Amino acid sequence: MTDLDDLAAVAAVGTARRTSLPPLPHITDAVPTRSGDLAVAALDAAAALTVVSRGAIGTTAESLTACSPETQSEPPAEFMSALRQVTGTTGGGVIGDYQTRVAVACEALGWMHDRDVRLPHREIVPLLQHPQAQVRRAARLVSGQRGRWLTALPGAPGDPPAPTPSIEEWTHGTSAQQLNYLTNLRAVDPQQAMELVAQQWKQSPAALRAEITTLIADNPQPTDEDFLENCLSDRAASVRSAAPPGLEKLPNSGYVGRMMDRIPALIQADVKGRVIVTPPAPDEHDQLGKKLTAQDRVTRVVAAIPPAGWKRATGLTATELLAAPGPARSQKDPGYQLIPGLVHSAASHTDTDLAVALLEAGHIDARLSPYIPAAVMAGALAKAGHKALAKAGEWVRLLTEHPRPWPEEVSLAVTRTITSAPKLDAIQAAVWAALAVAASPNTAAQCAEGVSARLARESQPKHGRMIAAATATLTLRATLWRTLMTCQPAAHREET
Amino acid sequence: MALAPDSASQVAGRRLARPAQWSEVGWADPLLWGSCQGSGKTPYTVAVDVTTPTYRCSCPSRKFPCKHVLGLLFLWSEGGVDTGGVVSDFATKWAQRAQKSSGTSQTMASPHERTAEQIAAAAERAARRDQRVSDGMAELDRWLADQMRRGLAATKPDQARDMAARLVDAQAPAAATRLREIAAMPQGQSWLLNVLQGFALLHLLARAHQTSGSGPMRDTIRMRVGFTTSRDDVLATAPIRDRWLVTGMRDADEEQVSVRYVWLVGMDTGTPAQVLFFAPPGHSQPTSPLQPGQALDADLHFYPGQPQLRAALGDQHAASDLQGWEPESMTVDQVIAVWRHVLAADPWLNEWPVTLRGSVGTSPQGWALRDVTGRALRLHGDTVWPLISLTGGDPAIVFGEVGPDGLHATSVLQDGSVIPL
Repeated sequence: MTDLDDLAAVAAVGTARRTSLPPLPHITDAVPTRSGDLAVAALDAAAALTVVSRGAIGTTAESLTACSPETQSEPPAEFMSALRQVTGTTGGGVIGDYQTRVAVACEALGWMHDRDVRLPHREIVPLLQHPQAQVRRAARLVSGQRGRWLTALPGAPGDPPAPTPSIEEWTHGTSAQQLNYLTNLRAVDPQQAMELVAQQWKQSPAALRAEITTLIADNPQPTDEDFLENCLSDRAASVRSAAPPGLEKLPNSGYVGRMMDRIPALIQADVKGRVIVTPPAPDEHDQLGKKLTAQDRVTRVVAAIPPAGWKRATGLTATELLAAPGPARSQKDPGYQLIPGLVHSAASHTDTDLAVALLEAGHIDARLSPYIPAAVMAGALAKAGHKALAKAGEWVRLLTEHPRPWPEEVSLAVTRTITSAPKLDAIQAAVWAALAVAASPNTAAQCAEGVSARLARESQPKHGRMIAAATATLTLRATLWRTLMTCQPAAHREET
Repeated sequence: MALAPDSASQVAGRRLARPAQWSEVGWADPLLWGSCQGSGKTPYTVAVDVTTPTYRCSCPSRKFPCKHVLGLLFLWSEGGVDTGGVVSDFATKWAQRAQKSSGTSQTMASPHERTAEQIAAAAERAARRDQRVSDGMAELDRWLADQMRRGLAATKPDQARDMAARLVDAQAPAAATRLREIAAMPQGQSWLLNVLQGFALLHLLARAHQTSGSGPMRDTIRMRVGFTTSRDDVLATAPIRDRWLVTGMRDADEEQVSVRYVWLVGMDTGTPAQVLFFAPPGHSQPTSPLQPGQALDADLHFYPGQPQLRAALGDQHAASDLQGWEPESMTVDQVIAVWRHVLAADPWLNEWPVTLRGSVGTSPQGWALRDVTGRALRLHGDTVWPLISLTGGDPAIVFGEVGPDGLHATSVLQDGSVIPL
């Protein structure tokens, strides 16, 4: 305890009942403690001690190991100036919407990573402290040697790297920890992962079993077939329903074989060559139970068939089947549709031919978008016209869910389609938002110019602000891209 | 406070005692005037003759004095009205009418042309203010001693705020602000020690105010109590001309105003300086004419008091650059010696600008800036990690503010540029 602490203890309860202050050896000569008004003497002593303590600011310290020199260069100043417009946490800048700024910031940081350039040292800490986790993660990847050195220091800003899961998390952890451990283990040793699952399968609760089944079904290996097949007979409905999506992804599995066996009864041609679809009989084991509608059973069977399997089973490819005529239907007898199952099959088997055929037949589904070549999609959109983007339908959903950035052809096709609309206000807001952040960076400037020119010809559209915001976002992204592409990382490597 | 017709008027007047509410304000003894923005389009014009006092406001209130008059008087008593300014027509006409009706034939003199009578009256008012302040500080000292007798654990924040209000009445606003800050200290492990130290320094100020004569310490004490010096008076003093480098900038929201602290160092004389800019509370500062890293050949006029620190920007001659400039950097022991020296001249000082060369290291208290001898200053504030990131553990020239908590780094000299943290 210091003299000041002793005095504070006295001050807490007061000097009224005291006759003297405690000994204060460091200031006894300067401040009387025994005579006069004790309260005033205590204040005098406290003042002296306070001033002295305010001057006692020296300490000793151990040096840090200095950081290694950088091996990457910084991006151009113009790029950083543009990046700051979207990484700042206060409002302002050309992009008003916060989520858009975050998306553009993460994209630009990703470009830096691809280009092998790093953040300037003064930008590292603000980005590691950004409120959005995805920005922090992206910044960490481009923080260079200095960032790696900094984040290894105790108490450093940013998120600490996730620790490698340990076996204790599997044996004693929560469900989330167990799944996390399993995910990591399957990536390095799938066999051991399945052994661990088998060891405690029986005593695991249904919810966990369902989650494990979903995890495995998401990316199954041929060796997972037995496990998934057994799940079809699990005591819990949630486990049973989680297995088929995984089995469908194993074209040589028994499950797919059984579905293929149902095709002759499912699809027949009549004397006029029209395709007649007959729903399969209910089958609880293969998850075609009585509770499903007949159409659902048709869809599940068709979804499970790999596109390449149709030729073997029916003599027709999936594309030919799609084009084959069906009998005339009435409202009373609408018949059974193959399309929903074919869409699912194309997506789960990543079949481009079937996806294109479905699109060209007018079946727009967002699930197909990753597998449709850019030129085909652009052509289909041009054919569909601006009306397709004026209602909240499948085309809008397809564009908003299409992987980003869009290919150049799609970006330009969307811009042309939008600017061909008689009224810009008619275009769905989701399309503007998607165009702003998804247009390919190579064409962003061109898209912005196209929209600006079109906007100038329309008098005061109701959504003028939103459209202007989309244009501003495109322009900023174009600037970020253009300025970063001028950087030659190899030419600026610092000598070690 | 005594003028207020009721407590509601007092409260309302208090709320208006903010610079942001007022425009065209001025004070030319004995006339005080200003325009206060109300809810209508046209601001209310207020004029007060502080001698009697008499007052006039254009608002329709039936209370006398109204909240606008009270607000202006509060603002003036807290040093928020500078001497001078263009006397509004409203105030001039009112004063002339008042003089006519009182039978005097004196014409209104401009603020800079005073008669001997006016000078004498001003001196008398200053003496009365000095007496009010002395009485207020004496009352503060008695109150502090009472708290020590009863025990600080029994001190209630309301009691401290009441005492602070009496200090405002006594025209000692800076002392009042400090007491309110102490009353607002959060409860916690260090609360007792912090309150004791805060009270002790106020006691020191009260005693110093009683015993200080003339000289530099007197100016410092008066400044700490709440006497202000008008910017015009400061600009009338002899300046120090130098190439001034802006080494740091910090914004702080204080009770009734937002303050921007700008730190400078004279590149030729090594003189440290601090220039303050003000904005209404909660408002962002307008773009400052002084930005970190900027160097300019300019005159700085220093406010009275020791050690000399706060300055007003005078004439600016030309922009400058750092080409070939080598700052004089100190060791840690030299910084500590400087800090103790300035603390001896102004024990209430909270920070002092310094330049030192060091590298970031680890101490028992956390991160620190150490020099080649291993002596170090604890680093604090939100600039620690930016400093670590920018220097990477290597030695660097660091500009900062040294204070009781250690060093708050503000910028680093790197590759011939000052980089703010």
